[in-house]
Amino acid sequence: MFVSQLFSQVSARALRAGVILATVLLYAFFGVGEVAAGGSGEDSSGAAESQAAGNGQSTDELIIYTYDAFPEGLEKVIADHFEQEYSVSVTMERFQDTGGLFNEVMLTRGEGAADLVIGLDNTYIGRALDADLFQPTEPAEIDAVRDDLILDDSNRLVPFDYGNIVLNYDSEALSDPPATWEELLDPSLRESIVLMNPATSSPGRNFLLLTIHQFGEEGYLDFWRELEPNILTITSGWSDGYGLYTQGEAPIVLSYETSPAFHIAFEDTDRYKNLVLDGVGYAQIEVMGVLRDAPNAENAHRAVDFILSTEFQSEIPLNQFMYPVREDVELPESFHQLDRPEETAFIDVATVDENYETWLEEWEAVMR
Amino acid sequence: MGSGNAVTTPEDRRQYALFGGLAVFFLLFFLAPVGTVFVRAAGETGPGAWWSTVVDILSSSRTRSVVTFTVGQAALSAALAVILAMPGAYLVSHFTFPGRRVIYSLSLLPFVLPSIIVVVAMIGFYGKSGIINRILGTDYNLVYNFRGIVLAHVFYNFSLAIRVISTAWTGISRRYRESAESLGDSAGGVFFRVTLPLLLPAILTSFILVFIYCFLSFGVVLVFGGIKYATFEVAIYREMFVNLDLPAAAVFALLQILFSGIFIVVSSRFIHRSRAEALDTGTALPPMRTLAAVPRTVMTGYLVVMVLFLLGPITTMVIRAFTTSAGTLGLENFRQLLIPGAADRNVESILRSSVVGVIGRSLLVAAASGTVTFAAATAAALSLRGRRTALMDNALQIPIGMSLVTVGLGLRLLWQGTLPPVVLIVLGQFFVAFPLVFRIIRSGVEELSDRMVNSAAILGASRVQILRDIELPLLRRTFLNAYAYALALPFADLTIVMAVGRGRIATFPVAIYRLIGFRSFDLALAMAVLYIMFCLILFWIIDTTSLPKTRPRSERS
Amino acid sequence: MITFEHVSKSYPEFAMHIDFSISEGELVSILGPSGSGKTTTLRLIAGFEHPDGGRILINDRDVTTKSPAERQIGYVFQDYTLFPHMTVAQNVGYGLRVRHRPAKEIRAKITELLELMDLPGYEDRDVATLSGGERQRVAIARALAVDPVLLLLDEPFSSIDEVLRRDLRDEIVRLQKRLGITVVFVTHSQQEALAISDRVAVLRAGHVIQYDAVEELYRHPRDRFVASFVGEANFLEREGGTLMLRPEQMEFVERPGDDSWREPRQREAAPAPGAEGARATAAAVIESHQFLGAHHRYQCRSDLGPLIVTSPERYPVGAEVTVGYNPAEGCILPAPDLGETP
Repeated sequence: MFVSQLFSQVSARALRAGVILATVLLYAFFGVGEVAAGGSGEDSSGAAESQAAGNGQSTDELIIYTYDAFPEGLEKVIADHFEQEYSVSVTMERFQDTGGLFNEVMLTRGEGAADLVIGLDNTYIGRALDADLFQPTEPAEIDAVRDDLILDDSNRLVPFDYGNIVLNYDSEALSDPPATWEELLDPSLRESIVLMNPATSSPGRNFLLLTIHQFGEEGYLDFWRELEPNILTITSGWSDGYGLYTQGEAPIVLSYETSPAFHIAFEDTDRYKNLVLDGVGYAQIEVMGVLRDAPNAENAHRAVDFILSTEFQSEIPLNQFMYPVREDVELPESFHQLDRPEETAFIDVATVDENYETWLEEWEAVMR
Repeated sequence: MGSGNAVTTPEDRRQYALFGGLAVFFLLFFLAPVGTVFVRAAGETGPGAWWSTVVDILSSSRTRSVVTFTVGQAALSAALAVILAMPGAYLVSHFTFPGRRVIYSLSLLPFVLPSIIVVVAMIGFYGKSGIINRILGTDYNLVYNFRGIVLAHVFYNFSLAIRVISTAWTGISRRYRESAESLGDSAGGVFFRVTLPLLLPAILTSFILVFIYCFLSFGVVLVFGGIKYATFEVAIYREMFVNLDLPAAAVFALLQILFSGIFIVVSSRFIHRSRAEALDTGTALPPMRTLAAVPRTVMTGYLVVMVLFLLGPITTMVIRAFTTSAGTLGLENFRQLLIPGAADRNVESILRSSVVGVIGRSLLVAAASGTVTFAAATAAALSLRGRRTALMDNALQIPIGMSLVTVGLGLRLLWQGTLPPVVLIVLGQFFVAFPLVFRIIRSGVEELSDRMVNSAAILGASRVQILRDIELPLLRRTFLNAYAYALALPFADLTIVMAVGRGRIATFPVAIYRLIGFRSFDLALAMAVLYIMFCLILFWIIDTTSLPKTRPRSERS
Repeated sequence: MITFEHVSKSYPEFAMHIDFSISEGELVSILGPSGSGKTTTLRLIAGFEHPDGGRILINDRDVTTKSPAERQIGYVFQDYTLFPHMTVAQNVGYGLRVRHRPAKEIRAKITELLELMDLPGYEDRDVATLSGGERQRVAIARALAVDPVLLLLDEPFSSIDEVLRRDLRDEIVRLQKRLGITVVFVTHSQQEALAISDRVAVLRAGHVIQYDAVEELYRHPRDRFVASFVGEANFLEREGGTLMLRPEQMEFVERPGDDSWREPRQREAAPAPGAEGARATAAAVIESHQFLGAHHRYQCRSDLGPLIVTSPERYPVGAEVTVGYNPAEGCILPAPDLGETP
């Protein structure tokens, strides 16, 4: 037998076997449905369902779009509830971050691809309402929700949790943290702060708004000019920046007031603490909404009701590390250990929408 | 243009069919999706308004700074990578030493690391609380600026330069050096007057490759660039997914492809012209010497570079992965990753898949994309054999310059619903790997004597028999090398999987990305170590079968 | 056997146009300077290249668009291109293997051919260990294994040393006579072409300018180009054309330093004295000299221009001599075209 012939015959046989094996394994790993038909969510959004929803008939599905980090625990609470109460199966599709989620909703609008969107925040509210993506709702327990969190009178977007944007600090690296905005500019804090880009991240945007709220349109740029030497870097997204902080790259980071609760609850350490300057934080409100073209609109409205219920709201703190929107929900122990801001700053949506682009451009001109 | 046009032979027809097929493939799964994005972008503003968007963006100072930064950092990174690669290339091509194979295998690694891991490794080593600062007892800011981006790019690419240059160095006949020496030239003179000019094409090739990869850099710049620095790819991403400004994204995507198109065309002229002069066809490997003969300066230079740019960052990351929460060495992170219920938080729910599932899925996706890419690149290279079609060669390189984010989005917009996501991922990754894989195979095939193939043809062998009996065995190294890249690039791909799979299809990079997103940093490191292990096993297998033996199997030896 | 019918092929550098045919059982060489299209001609026969126009017939079969594999031709490359990853036996048997012949038959054929090529017992040798001559013989054996109708050799002797080259030349002639196979080979060496071919096709800039038996080519070249490409030639300009004389058709008739006439050497084909065109002479000075073993070769300056003369005698450089020749022995060439002078 010639060696080369042997080689080639073996490889030809191996190739054939490999192709067959690969096909089988592809099916095994991705499931017949995905390989053959391209995802489960989209298929069910046919014309029949749309019509059914339009006629107000019940359907046995609910498709929710959310962001990647939406906790599995909360998904399970929703899914179990719908399974038990209505025999409805819940599909949850996740799209990277809030921006990715909004983008997906924009790209698929009019296709009837989903029913409910959970997880847009005040950054996107103006644009979402402008694009007329959502239908009005009449949540049963809307009166229990804190008044100052309601951003749309017709409840096209309904708040389901909120948090304050504040700075966090690592008490092991910084024994004497600044207490005021003034002290944050101290030269001893050179290259010690990790912030996020207001053009690309919600916390970054809200922090910029906080400085405008604090120093006014006339003063905020001067503040940033003085702050610049103390900034180590400005990352695109929150998780990049927060990762640097927990790796010990900088002792101060822009985050949520509830972030330290995560470390208390899961890592058993109170090393990471809130740094609430002058007692002020900026509100970040997360909202949900029923899509205009929802094929299972009835179930989506039920979901909005359920998410505002005490049953669900009490799950929010330890799953999402945000505050429930109802004040009648008990907060867990780890939340009581936090330094909470005395004041929550918020510039109304209309003013922000009107001026944000200018503010951002001015800010970029200073910082770039 | 060796063959005529009046008489059409079956061979010609086969080639036309093949190229027709390839052209249709590019049209359906590359041009059409990308076109869809542009059309949609124009549709969002209306064609007239789009034009003014184009003008606005082109005339803004931000765009100018994107252009300057993208080109500048790419040129600097490529120059540094090539210079730093020289001692390593010299060692690998001239000396045998224990661990040579390991180093050769390892040298591919950074190239296939997802940028998220590179960022992690760079921070661990160069960061303010990284190893270097700890050793020096300082807190220099090395990474969160222009320096950091260039450092990471050198880490990423210098091993690629080692590969390309050492391969060429191995091929330079010792006779050239000996004749220069016999003419009385000094050792340094021989290097600068003989060796360096002969190496120039390889040096240029590696420079251009590194340049293009840095030009298209995304993840590293996204994290280290802060708000000051953005490459085209980052600008496209921001406009598309953050500012939701599709028209602006399309303008940047067009600019990027325009620029990279120019680089590709210019560089291919360069490489083509210099290649023919330098290839010494009839030479064997110079005899390998042992390590004792290595000049001390070269050795020191090599070690410093290796530690600073390869071993340091990777080792730091590995050690951290094996560090427990108590600060001792241990397997805690791996236990949490691999054993369900061992972690406080449910890893499976973060990944939405088991770790075994992630591994299996990654391997399968890579195998599928890699095999498709490899087969297509081989077919294209074989049918182009002996033809100097700059147009064709350049056209096949175009996907390299196209923003992956755009390709991914386009594939989804156009084909979602018609084709399953897994297939779309494979298609998207095809364009990630194809340009490089095609380039490797094409140059290998061109070096195989035309007469070798004709000899078999005249003896009656069919096209398939020639491939099986002559080309595959003789070009084993080239093919294995190309296949390694064809597998590794999709294995490392995050962009396409995320853009098309929308996080539902969790491969290795997606899993690492998600773990970091969920603040499970140590688990992410453990996952990265698993990923590296798989890469090394893959490269080790390929390199042990393809590294040159002591005696080359050449009839002229 | 092989017919080129108005075969044309264009290149950026030149255009080929070939029209000639080779008959069965002949040993034909294609001769020409480099770049004249010799190898392309061979590649056209083999099917590695395809013409832009015209037809190529092998045994009256139109093979113009046929692939090499379909032509049943043996081809030996300049560098032999033995497959480096195969043994000698695997190389020789390759053509039969791809035709799926039984293993037994292949083995028998390999043994037979290796014996024919004087390489018995070489079956399992690694081709890298063979000498140049051995490699060539393996390459020929490999080409012959498929019983080709035609054997093509591309500059087969160019990379072999002088002694071996003569042996191999003889070998090929013997083989060709023994197997009765048509052999076409390409060479740029006129010596080689004259030594072994039955016929020679002289190529220049893509055209066959003369295709003749070797003696005819030597004695009656069509033009100055052929004359000086095939052997050495002296050109004497006259009215109505150029007289071409080979160096051995000229001789020194006056011995330097000696007044007595030296008797002209008796020549086989010398015309009788007093026959048409009596002996002519010219005064010359020897400018340089080379010893070639069988004779001496002199370059002289004369009234007629530069002359090359061979002689068994040794003359000193600088000697004044008289060169004698018989114009009737020469060959009249047409007046040189502009541009046809080499």
